[in-house]
Amino acid sequence: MTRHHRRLACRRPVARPLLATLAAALSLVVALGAGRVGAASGDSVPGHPAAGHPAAGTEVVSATDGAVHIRVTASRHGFGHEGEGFRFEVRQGQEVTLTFEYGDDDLERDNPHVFLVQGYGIRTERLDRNNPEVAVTFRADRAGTFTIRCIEPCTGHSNLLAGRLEVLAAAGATPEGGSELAVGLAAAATRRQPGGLTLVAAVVDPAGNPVPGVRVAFYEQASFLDQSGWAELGTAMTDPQGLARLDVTLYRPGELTFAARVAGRGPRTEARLTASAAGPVAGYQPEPRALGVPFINVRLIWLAAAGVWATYAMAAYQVYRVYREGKAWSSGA
Amino acid sequence: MGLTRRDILRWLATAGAGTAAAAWAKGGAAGLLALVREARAAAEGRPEGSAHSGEGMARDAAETRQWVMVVDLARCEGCRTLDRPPQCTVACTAEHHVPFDQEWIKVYEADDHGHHYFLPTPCMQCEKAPCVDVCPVGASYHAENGIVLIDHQRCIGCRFCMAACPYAARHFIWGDPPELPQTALVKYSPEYPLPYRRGTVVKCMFCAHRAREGRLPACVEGCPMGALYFGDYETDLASNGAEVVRLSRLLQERHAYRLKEKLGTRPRAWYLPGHGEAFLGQTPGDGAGVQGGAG
Amino acid sequence: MNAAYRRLEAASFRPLTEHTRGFLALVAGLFFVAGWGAYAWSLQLRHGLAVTGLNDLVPWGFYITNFVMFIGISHAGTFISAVLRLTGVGWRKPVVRMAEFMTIASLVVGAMMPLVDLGRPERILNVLRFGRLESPILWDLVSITSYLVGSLIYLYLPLIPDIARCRDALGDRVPAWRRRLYTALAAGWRNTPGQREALERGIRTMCVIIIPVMISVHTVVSWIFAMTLRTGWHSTIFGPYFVVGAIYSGIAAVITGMAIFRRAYRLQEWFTDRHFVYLGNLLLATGLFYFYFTFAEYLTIGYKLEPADKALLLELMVGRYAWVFWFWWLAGWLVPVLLLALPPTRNAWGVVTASVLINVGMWVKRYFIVVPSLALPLMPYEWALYRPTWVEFSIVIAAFAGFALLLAGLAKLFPLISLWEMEEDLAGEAPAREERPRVGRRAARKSGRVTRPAVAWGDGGEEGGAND
Repeated sequence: MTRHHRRLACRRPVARPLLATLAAALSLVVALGAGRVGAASGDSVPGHPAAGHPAAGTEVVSATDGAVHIRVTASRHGFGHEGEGFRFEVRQGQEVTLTFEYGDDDLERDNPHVFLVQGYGIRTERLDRNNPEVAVTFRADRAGTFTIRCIEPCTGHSNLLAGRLEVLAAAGATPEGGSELAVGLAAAATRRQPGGLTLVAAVVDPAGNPVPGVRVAFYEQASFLDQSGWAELGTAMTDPQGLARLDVTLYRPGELTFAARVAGRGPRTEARLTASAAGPVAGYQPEPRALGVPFINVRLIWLAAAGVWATYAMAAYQVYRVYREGKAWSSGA
Repeated sequence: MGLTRRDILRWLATAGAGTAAAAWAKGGAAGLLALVREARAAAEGRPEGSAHSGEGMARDAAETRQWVMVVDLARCEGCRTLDRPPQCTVACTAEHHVPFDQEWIKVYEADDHGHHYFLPTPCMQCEKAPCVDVCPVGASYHAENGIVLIDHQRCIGCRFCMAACPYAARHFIWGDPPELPQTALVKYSPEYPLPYRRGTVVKCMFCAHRAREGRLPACVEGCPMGALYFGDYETDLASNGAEVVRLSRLLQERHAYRLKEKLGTRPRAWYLPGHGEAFLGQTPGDGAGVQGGAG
Repeated sequence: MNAAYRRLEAASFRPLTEHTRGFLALVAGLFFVAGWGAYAWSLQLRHGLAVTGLNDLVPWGFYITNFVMFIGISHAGTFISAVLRLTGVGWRKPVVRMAEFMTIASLVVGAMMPLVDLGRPERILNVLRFGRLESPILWDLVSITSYLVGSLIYLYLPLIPDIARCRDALGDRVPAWRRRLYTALAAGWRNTPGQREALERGIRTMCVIIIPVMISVHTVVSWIFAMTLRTGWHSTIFGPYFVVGAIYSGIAAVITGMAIFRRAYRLQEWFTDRHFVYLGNLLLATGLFYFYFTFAEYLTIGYKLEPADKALLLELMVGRYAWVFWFWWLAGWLVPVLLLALPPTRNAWGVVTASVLINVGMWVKRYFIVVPSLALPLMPYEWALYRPTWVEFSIVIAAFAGFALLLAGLAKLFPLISLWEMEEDLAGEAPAREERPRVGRRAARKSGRVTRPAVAWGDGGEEGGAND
């Protein structure tokens, strides 16, 4: 992919030599707020195994540290009789039991469903009038967001496509004391490249000391068609000053929201930044489809054809000459 | 009555001469050509110099998108664990009322030196599309967003594009397409070409009509594994319906490749290498950690 | 006017005025076959191409094969006529007219085949309205149109004196409409020196320009295939390969036609064994050239054996297409070449047998150029199947019937042998004289050696003064 001359500028242009100063200030701010940010991390709050936005008809049956049991009614109107909002969180490593209940008893016809936990490759048995309750149990061993959807061509299918299971990364997957770390974020425009931007994150431990050698992931809040979410921009390791830098390229003007976190865990720390286009946006430039050599052109065919037909005309003219001669001969005879 | 055949002929001659004279005044042969081109553009109902002229993809500044599709082969297992036909194909067929036995996004089962994998293939929407190059009437063309569309009101059905397509992505309406009540009221557009016309070529169009409404393509929405991403070079974003990612990063990190890259067609469908390993062996009932339980 | 010429004139005019029962039966039979094909086409028009065996993976089949075949045959008329005229080969004279008839008939039939193949034949004018010069189909359109028009002019010019003879000699023996036709087409031909000079100039112009146009025709036909990225088509030698193949099959068709007309019109005196052997030599030469191209084509892909090429070659040699592949090598090439080369069969019988074999073999050759490359899997699927239906068979056979009808019609309207050109030979001082090449004649004229009787002007005795 080639991209040329995206002229995006930051409304808070900060010259590159100032970056260090900025970063230093940043570490200070983060250090002061470290305790607060750390406390907000979901990992450090025990006894909160399942949360989210349970819709009506959704029920957290039981939740312990090791297992969680969710029960939801599925009907043509959606999960829990609602179109949207079936979403729950578990922690990585928990055993999840999902029970679906048939909710279309008011319908004359049978309206069977089969549910899938996308990304876990888990499928329920067929849920229908004769089998009004199905359950699956699995261990949530992978972190991330997973979709729960119906794969049977049922009535109200489109209402049963967007259940969400969020598996929060476990604390054990990160370096020691990772849950205590705090992240601050700042951004500065770079001069090296149009639309270039440098994101700087500072990582400190609860004591306020910079933490080197931690991988920081940077995100951008993005919306694409009807989808939105945090798009990962890249990762960077913190240097001895506890600062991680990432050079990114902006592809569109407008208000942009960035975030950073210690890779793989913890909440994101957000930083808002407004960028606007300065000058025309050239956009994506596909390669030319032809050779692009001047005069080598398909229209040369006309030239060849014109030559041929001109010659034909010369030959056909001879017929006219024959005709003319014949006429002269007749009138002479 | 005053008007004789001769009068009409004379009038016609004058009018014709007038037009020709105007053309010459406009700059000789070039003017005449311009007139012809204008007339043609008017006949086509398209502004002169639009993308349809076959000159490439014209740009429309800010709102232009350059759609792409990304297929994560590590996540595609041909819907085998679901024990169902490929759901992308099913969703596509339902969305487009795809006629006959055609599959506009076909999932091939490939065996590559013992590596078994599944290969979903939409139309590649090549940037240098052989089908667009060979079309004698310009019925196949690039929309501004890079999607290769077919004007079914112009297509003559020579099937040269099908012979030229290196990906077997094109299909033909050989006989009378079935008449469906739900398609009767659809207004034809090359993006959603219902009702289908006998003797013309059809194919996947990345659900251009859905993207226009701000929705993901039917196959992407239909894929239960999130293996299909729909993306845009312009904003560098892509989504599989569950997450939004940076397109360039996805392609780079996962070593994306395109099918038959050496042909130089520059497809707009990318493949993230894999063999369905994220799902293979997790068939319900026998997979590790999966227990199906009756309620 | 000697006896030999009078015999020729009588033999040439007889078919124009007398219609034997056999001929009428033949025409009726051909009309029936063509009508059957027309019925099959009407079915195809009503139900779409679904009535054919074509499918999404093999979108082209019999019709395109037939298209290549007929456009190929059309090359022989021009090749024999123009090239031999240009090089001053005297024995061409009795056979060129029939070869040119064949060119016209096969071009008309060949140009019809893509129309039959279209899914939307009623939109054919879109090619003119929206035509994109970037598409090889447009190249075909330009090239074939130019060739058809050029061939018509080139057929017509040497016909003018003969049409004048028809006008003057046939009189009441033909219906009034044909008398009017002859009068109109004769363009007032009175055999005046000025007319002869104009005619000579026209013929010379045409026989030079028609050769590159002829070569362009089958070149761009081949480019329809070679401009795609398909294995087996994706080849740089396709242009010359197809041109030589066209001349090969075209000469074979001309020889077959000669054999038929010799029998039907009793032309043994003019279509002599010598003509068959000479044309057989030409056929042998082009056959060897064609072998060279075919060999080069298959060796260059067979040596490297890219997976797709290998799959194609295997399928051709030992797979599903082995029958047609080896049929061509045997019946379309090896046996004919042996018949043409070995002394015991270097006679009319051997040459005609070889030609008939080549006609069949070259149709098959075109089939396995067109279809296997399409059936070859592009993606991980099996070889695609193509089973032509009776509709396709009917239309292909009807195309041959239509070709024969057109040829018979032309041969019923105009003399099959160029009377005025033959008269020169028959009346001149050296009846079977070989013409000298132009350059030689010009040099000879400069040295003042050429004083020729006026009747032999066609060979260039007089044209010098009038042309300059």
